[in-house]
Amino acid sequence: MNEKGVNHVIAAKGITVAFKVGSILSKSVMFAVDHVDLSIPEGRTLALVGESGSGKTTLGKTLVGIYKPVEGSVYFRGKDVSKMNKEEYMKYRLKCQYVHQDPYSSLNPYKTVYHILAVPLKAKRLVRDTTEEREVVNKALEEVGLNPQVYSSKYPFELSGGERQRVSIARTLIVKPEFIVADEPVTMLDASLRLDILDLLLDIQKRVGLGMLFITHDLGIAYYVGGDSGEIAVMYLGSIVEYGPADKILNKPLHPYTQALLSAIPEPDPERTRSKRPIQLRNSEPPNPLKVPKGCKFSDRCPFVINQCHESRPQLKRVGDVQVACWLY
Amino acid sequence: MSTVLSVKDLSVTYRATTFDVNAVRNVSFEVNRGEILALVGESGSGKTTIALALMRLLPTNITIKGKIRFSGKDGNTIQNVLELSEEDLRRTGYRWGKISIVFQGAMNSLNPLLKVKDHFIDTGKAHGISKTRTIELAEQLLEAVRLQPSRVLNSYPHQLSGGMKQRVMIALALLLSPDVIILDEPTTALDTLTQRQILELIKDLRKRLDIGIIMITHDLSVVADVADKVLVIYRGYPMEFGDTYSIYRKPYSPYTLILINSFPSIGKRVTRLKASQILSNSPALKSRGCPLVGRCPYTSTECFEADMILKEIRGGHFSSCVKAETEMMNRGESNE
Amino acid sequence: MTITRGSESMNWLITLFRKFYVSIAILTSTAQGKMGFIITLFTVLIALCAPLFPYPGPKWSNPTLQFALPSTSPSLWYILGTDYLGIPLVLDVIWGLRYFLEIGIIAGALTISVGTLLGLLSGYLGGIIDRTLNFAFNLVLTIPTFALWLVLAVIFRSGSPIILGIILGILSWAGLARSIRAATIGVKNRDYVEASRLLGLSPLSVIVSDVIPAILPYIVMNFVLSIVSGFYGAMGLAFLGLIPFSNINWGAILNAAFYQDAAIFSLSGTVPVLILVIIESIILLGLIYFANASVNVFDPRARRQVEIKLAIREESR
Repeated sequence: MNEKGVNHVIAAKGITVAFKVGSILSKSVMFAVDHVDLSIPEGRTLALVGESGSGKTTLGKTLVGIYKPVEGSVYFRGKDVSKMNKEEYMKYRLKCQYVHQDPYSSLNPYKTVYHILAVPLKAKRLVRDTTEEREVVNKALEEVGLNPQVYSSKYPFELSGGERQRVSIARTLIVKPEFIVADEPVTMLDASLRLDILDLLLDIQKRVGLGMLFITHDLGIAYYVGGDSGEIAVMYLGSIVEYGPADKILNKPLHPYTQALLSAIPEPDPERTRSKRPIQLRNSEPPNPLKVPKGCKFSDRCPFVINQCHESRPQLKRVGDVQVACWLY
Repeated sequence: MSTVLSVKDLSVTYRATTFDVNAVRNVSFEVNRGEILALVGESGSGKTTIALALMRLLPTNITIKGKIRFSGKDGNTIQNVLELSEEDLRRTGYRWGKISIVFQGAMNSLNPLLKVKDHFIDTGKAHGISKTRTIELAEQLLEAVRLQPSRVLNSYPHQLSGGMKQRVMIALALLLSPDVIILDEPTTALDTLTQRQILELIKDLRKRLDIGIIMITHDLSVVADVADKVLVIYRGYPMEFGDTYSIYRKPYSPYTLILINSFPSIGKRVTRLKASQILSNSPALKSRGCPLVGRCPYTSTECFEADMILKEIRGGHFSSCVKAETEMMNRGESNE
Repeated sequence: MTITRGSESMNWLITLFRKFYVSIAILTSTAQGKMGFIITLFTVLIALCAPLFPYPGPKWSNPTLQFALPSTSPSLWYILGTDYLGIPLVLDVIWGLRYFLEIGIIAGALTISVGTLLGLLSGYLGGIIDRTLNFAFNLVLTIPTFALWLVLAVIFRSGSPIILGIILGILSWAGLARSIRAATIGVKNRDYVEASRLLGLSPLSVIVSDVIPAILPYIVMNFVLSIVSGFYGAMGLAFLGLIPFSNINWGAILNAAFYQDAAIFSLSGTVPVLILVIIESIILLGLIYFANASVNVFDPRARRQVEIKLAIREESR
């Protein structure tokens, strides 16, 4: 995974994040993220695709430090995060930011847009005085397409979902991050506003040279964001099952789960979408993160299952340009 | 193709303190038996208001104008549903008996303390069906929605997955054999694979039950997959109506084009229609003119006076855009 | 240079006045709020201005005028009648108000400072601190409040407002702490708080910026309710004779009216009881209405609406 000469802004080696679940009577452990390796170069995008329960949000939050892995390590610019001193750790946390999915709960409803953006500047002493602070805040608003004269003094309840999301993005940009996790940033927005926000993120990434982890369940959006030069990682029950260049995987998926997903999604073209033959899975119910099958996690639903799938768990293996975790290869 | 529901010039106006909000303006459409009509719009478009108007579930202090003609399979035709009194509605068993609805997120409104079979019994009781007959119907319907009656009837909602709950809601809506069923965003909260199952189910029901299905959604991929006819609404105004293939091949409203392009296809690079500002989705306040004025690249003076009524452009394909016969016609195929 | 600095602090003052005006406008926007605001304002004014009136001390005592009925003789001071010492009731009411408000405010300040601090710490920090503090809250809540008041009142045998304030506030912080803890836990898990922590803001900054604005309504409500409860508590202890008699404590007057003058059965006993009960009910009702209305003062939506109306009015001038 590590290409020589390329600056990786964030990397994960074998990280596992576990949660205790259950009542007093029956406790068990759920592995939301299960021995995941990945790395994201500067200025590039990794689209993380998965359904609910796949662990994608947990993985994203772990990379920015909200959760701590029980096994494995997160590396920021090559340095192990758990071995950093206080100063380095503070820098890591500041340089890695996160855009929330729900624009209706990601902004403090009691403060104005100006205050929301100014607080991190004041707290981290990134500006010298009020004049500079005002300049920086205004510039951040302009960068996300909002007129500072109009929006500075507004409260979140006066903004639409799209505007709130822009403020949220401005807030992450104001601390000059090097890596951003965008967690389903457009899922809760109206359709006609989505591409504007996606274009905004891609534009900013190009200008600033950010590394980006883009979490989504929508393969069409994953293609829009990563299609040109980005990579895609498909997650299932905490593990990455396919990983590689986005256009290769989305046009010719190797893993049965990716194939099932691609064959199941509808497309905005009646002729194409009605001639698709969705792959039938052996078990039609969504997977239960607490009852993971032995061996390959997909073995209870995979239509191509063989004996070996029940016995041991396949690891990611290189097949051409992509990596797949499947015994069929 | 018999028409079961015919809506003409439906308008709904709310009064908010000092001004009127026109939630729905002169919307017209038809639903035939065995056909799926997709009601497409984003938040604030008025699509849920239309559904509530069809169900006669809007509060009485709201002004509703227009004509809704209903021709049930029992041969009786109601000339205008909007003119019926509460008593008439009860007598004819209109709500649930002729038309029913599965609300958005309805699967979350299943009573967690009642088993699925109790939900059916409650609904049956409210409409005068005996308990035994209700269970009989419930078993048939659950099978029709591809669930195992023996397993599901005795389960509590929390024991079922999202997809299963959605199917239970659809079965409940079909209990009285309505002629029309409205599905409000039936797949929004579901996983990709589950969504596919529900879409296949809806297509199957249309074929087998010979009913009219109105599907409210904002997802143009789902519409392309499932719908026979499409009605596009923006801020209360009808923008375009027609059969799915023509609408996608050549949309006659710039708004439709914007929406279609908002759902990227894999492998295709879209050229976007340059809308000059962020589209706002609150219900329009002014009285004349197209709501896209100023934002649509084809804006000209006539757009300010547009009456926003659907007009037939080509056989069965209607648009309210004044440029439908000029710019939109000459645009060529969609996505150019 | 001086001119700019001056106008900056002028701006700041104007902004403060504006905020104040908006708060009052919201408070008085409902009928309940108007009533609550007026009564509370009136009460506070009387309490503050009490020193302008003569103190109902021994100089005013007149055994022949015990529980006299309201009249304008010997002077206007006797307009509400007299207490068990023959002192004009009106003076007892004015100075009593001040006394009770002192007690209430001390009890209230104790309750909200300890309750909010411990509730915030417990809710925000979690872990073992939370478990310990939560246990402490629940333990304190099991102590019977009134029994403790009785015991402490008898031990200290004092009528001083500070001591009474402390006694009455000594247990009520636990209930508030539990509410604040629950509210803090609820707010802590919201996305915007997570976002603040992601930006590296210190826990103190997060608590002040994000958590406290969400729980301010609870705090204000509870402060006013503590005043009400302190009021009743002080009156109750005096009525039961557990603290030294003082004629400015209406409880003492009620006690005397019942036990010395057979109130309810005699006119001269009933009248002061009625007067005091009516006055006290109005004041406490006013305080409660004020507390109810104060919740909306913190709602940015309500504030914005008033600000817009204000701006429109200024434009049209």
